[in-house]
Amino acid sequence: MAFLEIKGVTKKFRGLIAVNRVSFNVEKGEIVGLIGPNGAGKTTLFNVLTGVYKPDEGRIVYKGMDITGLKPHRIARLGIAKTHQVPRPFSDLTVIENVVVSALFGGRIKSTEEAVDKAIGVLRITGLEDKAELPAKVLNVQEKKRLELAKALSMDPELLLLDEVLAGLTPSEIEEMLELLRKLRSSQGITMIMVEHVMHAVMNIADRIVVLHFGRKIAEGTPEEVANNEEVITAYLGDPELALKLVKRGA
Amino acid sequence: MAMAYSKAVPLGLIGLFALGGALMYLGVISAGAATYLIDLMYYTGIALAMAIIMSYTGYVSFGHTVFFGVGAFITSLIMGVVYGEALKQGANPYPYFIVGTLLGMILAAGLAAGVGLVVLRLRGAFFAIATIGLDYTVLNLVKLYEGGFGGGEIHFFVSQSTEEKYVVFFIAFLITLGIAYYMRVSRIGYGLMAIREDEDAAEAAGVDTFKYKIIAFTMSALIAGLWGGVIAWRDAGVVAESSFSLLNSVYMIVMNTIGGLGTFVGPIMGAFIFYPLYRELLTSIPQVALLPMGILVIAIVSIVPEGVAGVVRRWIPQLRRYIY
Repeated sequence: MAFLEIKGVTKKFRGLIAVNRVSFNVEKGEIVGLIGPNGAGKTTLFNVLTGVYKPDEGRIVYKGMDITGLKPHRIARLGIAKTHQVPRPFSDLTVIENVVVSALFGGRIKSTEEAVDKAIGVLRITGLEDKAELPAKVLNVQEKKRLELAKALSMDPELLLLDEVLAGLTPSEIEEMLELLRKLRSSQGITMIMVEHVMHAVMNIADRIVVLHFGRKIAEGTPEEVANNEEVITAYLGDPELALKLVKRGA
Repeated sequence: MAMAYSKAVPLGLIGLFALGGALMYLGVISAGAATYLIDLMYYTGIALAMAIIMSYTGYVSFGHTVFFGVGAFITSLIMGVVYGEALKQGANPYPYFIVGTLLGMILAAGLAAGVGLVVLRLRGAFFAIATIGLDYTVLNLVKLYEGGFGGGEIHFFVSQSTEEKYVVFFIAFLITLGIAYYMRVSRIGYGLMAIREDEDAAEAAGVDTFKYKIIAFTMSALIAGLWGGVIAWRDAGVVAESSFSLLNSVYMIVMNTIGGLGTFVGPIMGAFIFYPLYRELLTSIPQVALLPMGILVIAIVSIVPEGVAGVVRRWIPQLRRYIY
């Protein structure tokens, strides 16, 4: 039994098949990259995993438990946390209040004092300590991304879904973030699935890559295997820059 | 990096009204001044009732006059019918008043929970519109009551001194303040604020948004029902048309809006601004008293939508500890 089993998941929106019979497994402690051109169904698949959408077909089995169609808050409380592609902080709450909410509910901490302690620890890890008392809306893009991560981490997740957590960051910020993610895996054993467009980064950090194209899974394997896969290269031809990066890496 | 919410404002309020009561007993302030404080406790009380669903959770309810009215009506029924009989043996009115008010509160809360199960699936404006429908439905049902003076009007015999009124209002105020404070600073409060900010993100953070909205609406109605009972007792009766008037909901909404949404302290500020102004306008220009009030609300919503509390907090961020 794998840690997470995605079994034949299909999600349609009025005739548009956003995710088409996608199946793959994720093992405990793995970092899996989920890539594909725009509109490939990556974010939709994340939304199915977190319960935002109910799949039309297929099952999601997490630690042996069928979680298909559970409400998002139930799934969050089972230890599956997601960072939003476009950060969605609680704007008028302070940074620390934002994190306390996730710690209390997703992290199932009963007392607010304990949740505040937890939040302080997480803000230290994500480098937001100095911003704790500021309203979340005044943060810059990088800080908002870090806040997304802090909120997710305060839930003590076993499975972390990272939706383009690197997008919009400068090269040095990307390096910092990757370092942080590696540290989280090694220290807390968090399993991660990352949707990512920053190709060199995901190739660098992921143990395994799953490629989606028009909702279908077209490849799965190590970064090297995927980069040399012809169907993947063809799929990315619509996005020459990415294709070039893939080919370069494969060569 | 302490993030403790200061108790200065709630404790200060309790101190203020306790002092007012003491001065009244000592004869330092007149009965008129004491009545002013009584009314101020009432307006602050209903502003805080509304705050739980509107300010904390972000849902505007026009239905609160119903919960208020249910509290008033049930209390009047118990006082008019049951106490009316017991009075012949010279019974003490307080047990009947307390039981009536508790029953009214429970019924108001139950009604809110039941209605909430349906309408809290709606978001934003749709919820607000649904609650307006609730107003007229319940008002028309209550008007079917043929007892008392008919048409949902009940009067009963009770007479209270200003001192008694002050004590009763002070107790109701303490209950209200305690619940409203707890609902803001506890675990529940964090859930409600998250819902207010972004309901989907709240779900993603593990908040059972539907459950917490029901809790907020129910507790909010419970307090509205309490004040309905207290006002029925003060007025020795209920007139459905006025106790269920949409205006009651509007006053609560106005105080929350002026004071600042998203906070516990804002609606209190709103009541402290609204009541003196409203009273002044009612005595000086009774026919058009609500007109300047309407202009004030429009001005606030368009110039400083975050309300007084929000503005103060923006200017002086250090005050966040006190204004939350």
